Amino acid sequence: MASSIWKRFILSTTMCAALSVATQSSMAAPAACTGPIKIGLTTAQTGNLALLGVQAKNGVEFAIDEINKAGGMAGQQIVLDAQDTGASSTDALNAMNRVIEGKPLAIFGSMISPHVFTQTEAVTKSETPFIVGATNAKVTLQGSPWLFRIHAHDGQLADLVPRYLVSTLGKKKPGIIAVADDYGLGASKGIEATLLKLDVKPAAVASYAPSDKDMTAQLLEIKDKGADSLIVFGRPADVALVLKQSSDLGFKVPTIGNASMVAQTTLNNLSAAEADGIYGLGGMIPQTSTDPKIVDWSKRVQERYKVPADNFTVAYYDATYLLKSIVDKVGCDKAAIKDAFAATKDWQGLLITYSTDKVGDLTHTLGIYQNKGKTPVLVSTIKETGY
Amino acid sequence: MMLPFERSRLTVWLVIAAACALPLLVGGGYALQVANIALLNAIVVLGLNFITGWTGQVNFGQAAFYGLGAYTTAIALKFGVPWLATPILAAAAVMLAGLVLGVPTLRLRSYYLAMTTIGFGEIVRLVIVHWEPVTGGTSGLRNIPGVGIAGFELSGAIQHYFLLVATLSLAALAAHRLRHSAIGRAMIATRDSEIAAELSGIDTVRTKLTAFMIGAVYAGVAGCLYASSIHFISPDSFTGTQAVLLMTMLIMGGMGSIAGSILGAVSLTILPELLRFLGQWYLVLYGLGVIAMIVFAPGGMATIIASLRDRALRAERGS
Repeated sequence: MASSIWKRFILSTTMCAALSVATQSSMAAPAACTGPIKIGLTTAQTGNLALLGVQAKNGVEFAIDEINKAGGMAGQQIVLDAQDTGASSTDALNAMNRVIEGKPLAIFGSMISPHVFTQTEAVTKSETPFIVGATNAKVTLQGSPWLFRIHAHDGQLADLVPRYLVSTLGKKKPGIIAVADDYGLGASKGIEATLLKLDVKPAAVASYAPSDKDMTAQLLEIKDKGADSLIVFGRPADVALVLKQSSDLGFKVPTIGNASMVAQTTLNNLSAAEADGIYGLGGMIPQTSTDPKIVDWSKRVQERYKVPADNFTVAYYDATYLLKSIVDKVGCDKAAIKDAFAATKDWQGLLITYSTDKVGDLTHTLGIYQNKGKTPVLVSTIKETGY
Repeated sequence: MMLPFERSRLTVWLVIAAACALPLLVGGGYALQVANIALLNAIVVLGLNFITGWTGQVNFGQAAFYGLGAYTTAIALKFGVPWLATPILAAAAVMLAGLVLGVPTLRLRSYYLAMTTIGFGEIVRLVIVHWEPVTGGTSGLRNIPGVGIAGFELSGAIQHYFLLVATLSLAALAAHRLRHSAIGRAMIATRDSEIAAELSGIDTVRTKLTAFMIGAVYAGVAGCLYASSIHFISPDSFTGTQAVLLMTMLIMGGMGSIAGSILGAVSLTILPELLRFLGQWYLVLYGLGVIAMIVFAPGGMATIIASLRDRALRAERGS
């Protein structure tokens, strides 16, 4: 009788232990992905921001095609639901609501900050990982645990551009000219603040409207006030005009700015003499790499889309592969994907490594480029202050 | 047989009933959010109809009034003003702006006035972009509190939808009453012939100014509701492109028609969303549709509906 009780006790204890182990292992196992995995993307495909949006779409699409050909993500094929935001925040919200209704596993957002600001509340409510390239420093300060940024932001540039100009190039009286939009004005204020910390007062600060074609008045003011260097922040189309008009006015001083200074679209509109010597800081661009793997990748992107890949193409391509590596590991549980994004550390992308900081920024390495004639050359990489 | 006015009244009630039933069909997601934007655009276009449709003055400043209403609301709410006061504040702000723009410019005609209103829109946009400490600059204003009345706060697209249906109904009713009042008749007379109107004793400048300010109030109130329902505003929603779109909605719907204004706004808000599956080609189709409408039905959708209605009436009488 006693041995029977002992037998039952041992049996039930063993069963409980086995059940407990089974439960634990099933909890740790990745959440299964069933059927094709839907990924959302909202960027500008039409309107005056389409040049930027198309680069993001190219990056995501190119990566997804490669992943699908190689067997997919967590064993499933990826389906991309790409929606056009146009140029307005209202349309961006409509596009996002449409994407959310398709219940995607993750969403790639725009690089246009007001679009991301207007979309964040809806995405956060849907509890979907949201990976963006928007460059306004405040984007990741909105307090959404679901939002991650894959690209360098204005805050980093506003800190690093003046530091490089003052500390490395030894200039003490720069003029600042920036496009009067979310990108340029935000950066311009940040640059002034950093210069103040470096005990440098700008000779003049000017701006121009995104549609302006004549910036000579602003440039003459900067020149007349004795600037020894020029900081330019803008989009490729208007930056090309600033650099061309600056050259026409005989205002040839060391010039530095964001990645538009070395972007292919800018260089296509400048002569070698106008482009030569100009510095640009920003996200990593693939054209300057001599790594055969990167050269081959750039060639394949160019062949497929007929436009050269830029910093956004690289960032969104990397973001798609980072998502794949996470889903392969944790499965299709959105909360687990979010946690894995937040825990990303030293993940190797095409050109740089990514680590998530406490607000959700993944990029902390930027490139310093200089044009040699019409060819941008990587001078060095530079880390965000504190990294 | 039903009399024409009884038929019209029945149609209006049927449309309102259908509008109220919409959330049951589409739920509270994407489709209803688009419907909310369509209703907001309808209120703004109804306002534009006062000055352009009835008084015959080209106004490309309506998007700026829309933005002013939105920014006034957002800033007031951020300063802790109760929501109930914000439509009044928004209306007051746009009336003041309308007065400032209207008094010196409404003696101008045709493209001179059009150019002035374009300039006004650009000034408003530049002030919003550069007055960053107050307007948030190009980054806009975030986390705008929602509609809250006596401790009850509206949340979600469905509740906002019903508020917008009610507001649009009131706005349309007010427009209908005004159209058949002395002011409305003065507006039509001013549009048809300013000289004849003056000879009949109508102060055309005052009439134009009144139409301008009423239209601005419609846009201001719509802006107030936009800011409270979207919770985020930025200058890119109130640009010159938006002003042209609002004018296109009015032309496509039918200038001078209340139903046409609403129909134009609703259809041109929904159409791009319906054509999304075409990708970048939707703009081509959209543009062709606008051209076709202007060529084949210059009076807009309102005239198509009117001719269909007349045909149905004739058929009814014939049988």
